[in-house]
Amino acid sequence: MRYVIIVFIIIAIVDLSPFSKKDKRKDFYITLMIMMIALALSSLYALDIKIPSPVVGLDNFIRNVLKIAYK
Amino acid sequence: MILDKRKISRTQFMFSVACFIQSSSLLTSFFTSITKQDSWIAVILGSIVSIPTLLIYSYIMKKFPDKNLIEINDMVFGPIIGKIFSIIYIWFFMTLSAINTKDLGEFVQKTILDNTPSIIIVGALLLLCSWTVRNGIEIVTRYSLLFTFIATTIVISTVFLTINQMEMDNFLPILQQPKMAYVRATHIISAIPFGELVVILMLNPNLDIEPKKRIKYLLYGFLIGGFTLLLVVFRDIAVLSKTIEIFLLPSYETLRLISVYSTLSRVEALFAISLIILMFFKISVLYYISVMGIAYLFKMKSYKPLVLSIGVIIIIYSFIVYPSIIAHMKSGSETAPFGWLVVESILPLITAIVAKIRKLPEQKKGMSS
Amino acid sequence: MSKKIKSFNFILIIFIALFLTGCWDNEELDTISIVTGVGIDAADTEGNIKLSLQVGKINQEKSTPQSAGGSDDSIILEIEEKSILTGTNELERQVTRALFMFHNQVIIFGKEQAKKEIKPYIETFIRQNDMRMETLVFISEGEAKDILDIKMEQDKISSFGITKMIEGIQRYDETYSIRVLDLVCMIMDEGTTPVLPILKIEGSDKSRLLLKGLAILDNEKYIGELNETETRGYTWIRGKFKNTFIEVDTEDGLAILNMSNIRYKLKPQIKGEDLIMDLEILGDVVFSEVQGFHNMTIEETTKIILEGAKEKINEEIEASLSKSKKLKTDFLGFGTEYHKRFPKVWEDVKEHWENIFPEISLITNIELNLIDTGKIRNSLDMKEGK
Repeated sequence: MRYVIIVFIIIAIVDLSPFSKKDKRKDFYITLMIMMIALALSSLYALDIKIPSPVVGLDNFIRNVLKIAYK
Repeated sequence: MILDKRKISRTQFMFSVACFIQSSSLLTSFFTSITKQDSWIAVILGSIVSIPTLLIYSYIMKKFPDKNLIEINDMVFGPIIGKIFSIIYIWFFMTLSAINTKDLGEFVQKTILDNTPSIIIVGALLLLCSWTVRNGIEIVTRYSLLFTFIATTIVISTVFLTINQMEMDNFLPILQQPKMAYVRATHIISAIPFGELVVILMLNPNLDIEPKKRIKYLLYGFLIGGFTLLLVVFRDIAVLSKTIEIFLLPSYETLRLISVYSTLSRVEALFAISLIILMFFKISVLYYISVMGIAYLFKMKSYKPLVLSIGVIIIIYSFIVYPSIIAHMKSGSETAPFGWLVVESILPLITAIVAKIRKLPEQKKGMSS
Repeated sequence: MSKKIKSFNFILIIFIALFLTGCWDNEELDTISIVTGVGIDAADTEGNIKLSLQVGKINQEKSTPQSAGGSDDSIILEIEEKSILTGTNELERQVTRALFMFHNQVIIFGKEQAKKEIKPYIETFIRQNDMRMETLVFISEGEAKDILDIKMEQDKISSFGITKMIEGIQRYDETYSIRVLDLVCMIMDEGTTPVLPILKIEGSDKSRLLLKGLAILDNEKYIGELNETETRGYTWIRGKFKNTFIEVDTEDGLAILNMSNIRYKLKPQIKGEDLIMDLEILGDVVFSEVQGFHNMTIEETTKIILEGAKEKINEEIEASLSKSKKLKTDFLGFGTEYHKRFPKVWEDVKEHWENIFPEISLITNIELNLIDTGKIRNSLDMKEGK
């Protein structure tokens, strides 16, 4: 968890600092949003909380709902 | 609106395509476990089956020479459905980046650095990739010729080094597997290495080639890549015989067997070198287009602020994408080909058909000019 | 902006320098013990094995010649455990250094263990990443541990001695070099019974090793072995001689032929209901030693010797074939040949192959081509002149 915070501070410095000068509000919000998603995911990972994988979901969907998997 | 203005030249494009396919040629166990000694037939069939898909791509590339996939979706389907399509594609690209990152991370950890935590390996790799991505795609493709050259040299030289261990009898009996096995292996090959070429649609506006000639270079690159894949599979079957079906990395095992008396042996490092180089290329490209996809989706003015965050997402995604190697293999050889087929062939086909029906983009050109 | 990029690059470089150096996996020579041989023997307890690892000592003072021969060059670690990996893990706690398996040269199964089973233990050698597929596999006449333990005259570490021996033999005969890969291939092939070379300790001071034929492993269990003649027959049928000596002992005299440039063709055929194997052996022969043949011309002698040689080869092949029929197990790989050439027929017969197999008739066709008589033309005993 410590490392996650350190890494994100570095990322924030590198990525968000250009926005301080120029007026690009929209870009700033989108960047912030993506960064928050990344932060959330990595915090969950660092705290050992299981995140469901969309690929496994797709797998189960194809296998059990569409029933077209190879045997 | 073009975020990355650097151009990719003809040879760079051609070898990028080749490199992209070669990077998958080292991980062949998805289909070698199914068709065993007939895998080479499956490779040939798979390449033939993939050609129509490539024609669809080239049709789209010809129609929209200076637009990438996200913009094309917006133009063809309108803003709402187009966005849905784009999100599917972006998810697909990120999944591919995650899976490839995972493959490489696992390989390095399993074979070379088995005590190192995988986040260090993957993190270092993605950091390097993020550097290249920030500098634009041209930086990576510039090296594609070199990478292809290294990989092809390694493949060809190992063919010669293992020639004393090859036995042509290992290819017998031919065509004795159940018919479904061939269909399945062909499908897997056309979906997993070849179909992933859908990424070139994202690089489309960066190509410095006349729209009509793009197909030519695409096919050349495809041939180089496909031929390498065929050669690798041939070599592995001839050397490993039946055991090819039980290994997760047949090529790695083949290279481990090389020993020209005691002077030249233990050359599996070559495999690691070519795998890491090619995977670096592939992950960089996939990473780049994931970032680009998101930047275009939100119509941002610069893609650079996104790079590191998306890199972190890819790393975390690569850890959670499959719970285990068994799930990975099962998915890769049973269900993923169907999912990938939709994204790689059916969606582009729909795009092409709708574009044809709506007479895009000529109509728009007439209006704008 | 460029300053920013520069600082970013700077951070990146420091990061890479710190984290890419791979210090997690450093393995210094003085912290590992290099395993050079693995022996697996039967244990008294059911389900257990006696695992012995031969660990080669690293000679640190290489330049001092007097130290050679003074101390032992290898040590044997022994343990009784359920599997190879539990064994090595257990041993790892007993020795001061980490066990390093990458340089393992040989895997030896004791005969008693081979009579029980070997398949589950082979599995470890293909699954674990630090085990190599080119490691040689043997069966030992006595206990595998004894073979690892002996000091050979020239090679103090016996597993290196074995590897060198096999390398030498491999130049003319490939039968004895069976790698893990070959063994797995044989196990996986339909219609082949695996064979493994047998090692035996010889000599008065027990310092020599002898390759003493092949062990037959039906269902991966030891069921019998081939003696020298039968092994030669096996080698002829499987086409593994590169060149060989043939000893022809006729009424008129003794001749040793050196046969080289050997070409084999093993062709399965189906004639009506019968399965016929067609074996063709072509080779060039050179007279190496001729004794006897008093008062005979060279032409006569040649004829007799070549006939004798063919007969000799046929005898060897026949011995091997009859052994195979007696044991009702197809270690000659005929089933695999049918599986490869006649896959459809194979589907029908594979269920009761062990009953069909003894019915197969083997037709041999041997052609020897005399190319040289050595440095001299006539033997000292032979008739002068023509």
